[in-house]
Amino acid sequence: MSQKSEARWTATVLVSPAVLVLVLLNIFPIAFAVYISLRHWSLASPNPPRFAGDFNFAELLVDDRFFNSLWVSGTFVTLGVVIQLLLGFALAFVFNSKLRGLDTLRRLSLLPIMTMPLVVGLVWFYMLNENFGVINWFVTLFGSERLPFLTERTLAMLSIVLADVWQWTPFVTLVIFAALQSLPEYVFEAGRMDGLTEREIFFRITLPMLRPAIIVVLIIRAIDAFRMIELIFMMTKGGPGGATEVLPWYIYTTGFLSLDLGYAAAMAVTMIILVTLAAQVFVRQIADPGKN
Amino acid sequence: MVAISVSGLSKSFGNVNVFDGLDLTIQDGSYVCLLGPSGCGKTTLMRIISGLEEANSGTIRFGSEDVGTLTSARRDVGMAFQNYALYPHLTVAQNLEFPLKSPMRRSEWPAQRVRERISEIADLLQITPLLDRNINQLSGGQQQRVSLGRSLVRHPKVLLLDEPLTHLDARLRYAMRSELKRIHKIMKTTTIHVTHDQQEAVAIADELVVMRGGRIEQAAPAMSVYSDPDTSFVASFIGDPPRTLLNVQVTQAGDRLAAQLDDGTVLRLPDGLQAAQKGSTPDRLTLALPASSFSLSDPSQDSDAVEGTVRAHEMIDDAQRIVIEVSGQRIHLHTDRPQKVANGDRLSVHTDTSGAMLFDHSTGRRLATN
Amino acid sequence: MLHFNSSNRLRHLALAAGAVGVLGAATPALADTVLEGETIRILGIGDPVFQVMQKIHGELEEMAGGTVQLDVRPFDVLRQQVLLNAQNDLSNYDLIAVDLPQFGEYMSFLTDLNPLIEANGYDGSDFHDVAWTGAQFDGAQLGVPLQPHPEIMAYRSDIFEKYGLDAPQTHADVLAAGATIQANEPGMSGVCWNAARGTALGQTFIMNMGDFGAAPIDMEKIGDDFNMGNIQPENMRPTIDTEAGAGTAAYLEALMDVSPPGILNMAWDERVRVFAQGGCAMTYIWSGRSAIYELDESAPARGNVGYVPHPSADGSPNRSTLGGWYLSIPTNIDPDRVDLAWKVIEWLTSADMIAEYTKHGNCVSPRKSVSQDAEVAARCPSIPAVDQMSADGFIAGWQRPPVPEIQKIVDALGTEMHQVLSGDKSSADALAEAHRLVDREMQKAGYY
Repeated sequence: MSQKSEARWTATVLVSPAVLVLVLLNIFPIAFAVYISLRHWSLASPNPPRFAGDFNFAELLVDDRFFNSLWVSGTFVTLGVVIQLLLGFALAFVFNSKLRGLDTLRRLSLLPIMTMPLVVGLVWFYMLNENFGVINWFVTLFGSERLPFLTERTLAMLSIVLADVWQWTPFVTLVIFAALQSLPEYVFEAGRMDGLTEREIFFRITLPMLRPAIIVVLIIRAIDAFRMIELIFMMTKGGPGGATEVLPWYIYTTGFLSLDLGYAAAMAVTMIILVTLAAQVFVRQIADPGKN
Repeated sequence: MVAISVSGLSKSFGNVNVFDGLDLTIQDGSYVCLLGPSGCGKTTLMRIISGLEEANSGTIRFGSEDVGTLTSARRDVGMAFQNYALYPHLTVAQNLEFPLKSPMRRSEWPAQRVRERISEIADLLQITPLLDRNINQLSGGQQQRVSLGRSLVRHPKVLLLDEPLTHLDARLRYAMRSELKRIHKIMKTTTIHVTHDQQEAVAIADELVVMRGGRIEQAAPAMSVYSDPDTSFVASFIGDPPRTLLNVQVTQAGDRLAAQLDDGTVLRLPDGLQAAQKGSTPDRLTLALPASSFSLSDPSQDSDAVEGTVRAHEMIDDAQRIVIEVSGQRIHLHTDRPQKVANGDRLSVHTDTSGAMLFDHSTGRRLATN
Repeated sequence: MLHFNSSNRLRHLALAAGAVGVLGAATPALADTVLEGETIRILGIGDPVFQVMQKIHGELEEMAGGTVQLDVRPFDVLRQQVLLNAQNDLSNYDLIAVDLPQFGEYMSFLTDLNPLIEANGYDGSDFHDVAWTGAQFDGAQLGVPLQPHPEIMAYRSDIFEKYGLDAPQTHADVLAAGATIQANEPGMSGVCWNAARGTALGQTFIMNMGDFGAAPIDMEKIGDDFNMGNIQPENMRPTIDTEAGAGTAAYLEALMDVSPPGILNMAWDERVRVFAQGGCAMTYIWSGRSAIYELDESAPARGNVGYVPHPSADGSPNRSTLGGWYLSIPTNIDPDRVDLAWKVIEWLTSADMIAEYTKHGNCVSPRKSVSQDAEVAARCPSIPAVDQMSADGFIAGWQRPPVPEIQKIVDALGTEMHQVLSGDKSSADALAEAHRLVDREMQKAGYY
């Protein structure tokens, strides 16, 4: 064996476990989802699964509920992630200032991340509940009528966003804070020497230098938020009407309650494609930081 | 292009006093190196002059203007940082024009002037081909040039260089020394250059300011600092190969004064130094001897030879440097006739004290000769 | 959580316990202990009856003289696990919990218990007739009732008395009483019910459709009821976009006016809790859930509740939907374990055990003998009420036909109707759409 082919062989051996894991854990499930999506496959049905061609996908195109859930998901992801970024960013700057007591506060602020999303949903469901929720109790203290936090279109969406923001803002804070800590002090001094005000330093130096961290956190949060299902399960079941029915919830009810695996898989495959496309746009931004 | 004068400057971080009542004057258009070991306060002094750091008390004047209360931007200083501090998200050209486009100065720099100035600076620093590159695509030396360009681009009154060559490899460092000199010759900006490398300082500076422990040991033209050190610290710090410092007892040897080491070894003192000793005579002196004062000798033919033990030896180019311990003190011997030695060998050393300088051992101050 | 006692819990101790009869009354029919040191494996649901078993797990094992391995799962997980277990060559469980409407879906992999019933001379006649026959399909007995109970109407008798109102028998009664009380009783709304999106509202819809004497699919009508034992493909056509459907939608819309705040998000337990605390004068309730207030001394509703069958639409007979849990034996059980499994079914559904469950918060009795026990009745006033409804023939199971597509029907209705109640859609549009979705599903499944 020549040295080169031996090196290649060694590389293959070393890489193959990773490839195997990738195939088993990532490629296979996706391929299987595609396979299911091309069949009539209902666990509830006594009939065996059969080939359906593009039936499930054609069905998607005329399914108002599907488009509604896409729209709802988009709204939820946009609202949630934007608020989390802004709030998380602000908090990161607060934590970055060297005030006393902030260390403890910073550690405490991580608690929501460690909470199970289902528990978060349950807690917020009870807090926002119209009959015995503590938040509505406060609302009535101020002389207002109880607010339909979970049963009015706009409020319900905002309530879900609120719970998600509560849980995930600390994550944004954590990442941005870490990025802030790693920024070289010299660069800010250079900016000050060049006559920039603090405001200009923020917009022209800090922000651009945090860009990679911001994009990473944006991608992680957006994908995560797009997959969110627990809050819907615990808080609204997608209601009122379909005002909070995100795509994963529709997929869940179709696949796991109605057991229509074929149609659910078609939606899931579509979702994967959409998420991948959207993520690509952002990933390019990281890979190519020179362009503004 | 302005003279700088610092007087009565005090600074402490918490309860660590960096300096107390420091005075320094820097001539208009000169190139000054602040030199000293790590922790001597040289960087802090420069940062106070730049305005990045605030002094606890004292005044700083640029010309006749008291700049103590001005921000660094208002002081109109340009600074090249040790780590370059380039804006990583901008290209080379964008980095260079950044200071010109800052809101404070935008009005002075119309677009046309900016373009001209950038190409001027790029030419001066020979980085024109790099202008469109990203910062992370540059080598250390290239970043160093860009950093220098950025600090010079808007014609600052004072140019501050914080260990600008420290992170470069030896060859590049050597080349940049003459480059800095060339640029200074053209720009004529009053420049303060902080370094811990005495070779670098001596090579570039018009004037050296040697600092230790927050005090200025000596501020003088580079050559005179070398040839005429004010303190024993300066004598040992400047010079390559380094001078040997010997802690001696002054004794009477017949009608002459002599220097005696703790083990009784006696060194003769030359006539000029004899004269210096008349009048005030401290018990203990520090004797500074250039490396050329020592040579290896044959004890059978040299009655003045002292014997010592080899503690270290190395080859530098084609010369040999040997550290020999005599009576608990170390002698730096430099010879261009290398021979085979090993640590622990006993050698005889001939000492020629004609180039010696004398310092008061307790104060470190030079004792006047003649 | 559960602690599974391994068999090292001293067998002779358990035997002794059984023999001495510490709780011997619980096992009079069995000469020896039920398990005789064996392990029984049960897949259960996180509903009161299995939660009671978890609570008294120690005593249960002492009584049984063996190990009771009880895996309790939430509804959806249980369903998936049952379906997956059915694919195995050998079942991982000896007994599985089956919800009444699930028999249609599970039919093909549940053991017919009739041979065991005959061989052991078992008598099922003590069970409420509708509960016992609810598990019969094509002449096969697929399960024994453990906790079947109907959805009925609970009302605050004290409040009704205060305003001189009669117990609500019809939809009109409910709406009228709700309006009166809501207008006069501060902080109290008319009716609590399941209006949360999805399964909750979907079930509400078909159960209220039953008030019109109608089912969601086109089953064969027998008198006032339907033939559930033999559903054919042509019976699978939806009957949602019908007069009864429209009537149901109109009733639900009218209910909104006499409902508490947040009704659009209200479901099973919450409606009972709000009712328990005095938030509503009436609530639709799975009768067993009355334990939530009957056993809570601080609840204002405790002891002040009357029970009536599901109020009907004018002119239709009262029919309360039967639901709840049965014990069944999977067909892929190890044949050597069938007898043991049957013995455990007999034991867990025995009169003594049913009475025992009521002591711990499970207000359900499918057995007439237990329902007429004075102690049980005092503990759970809903039990004799349900016993009477059963005797009157007011309980049925056809509102939720046991077909595999039932969840799809429920989901379509629960989704579409929620838009109606939220004001996003007209009920005509929603009914048409739900009808279309179910029709499509049936066609996809190939029934017609």
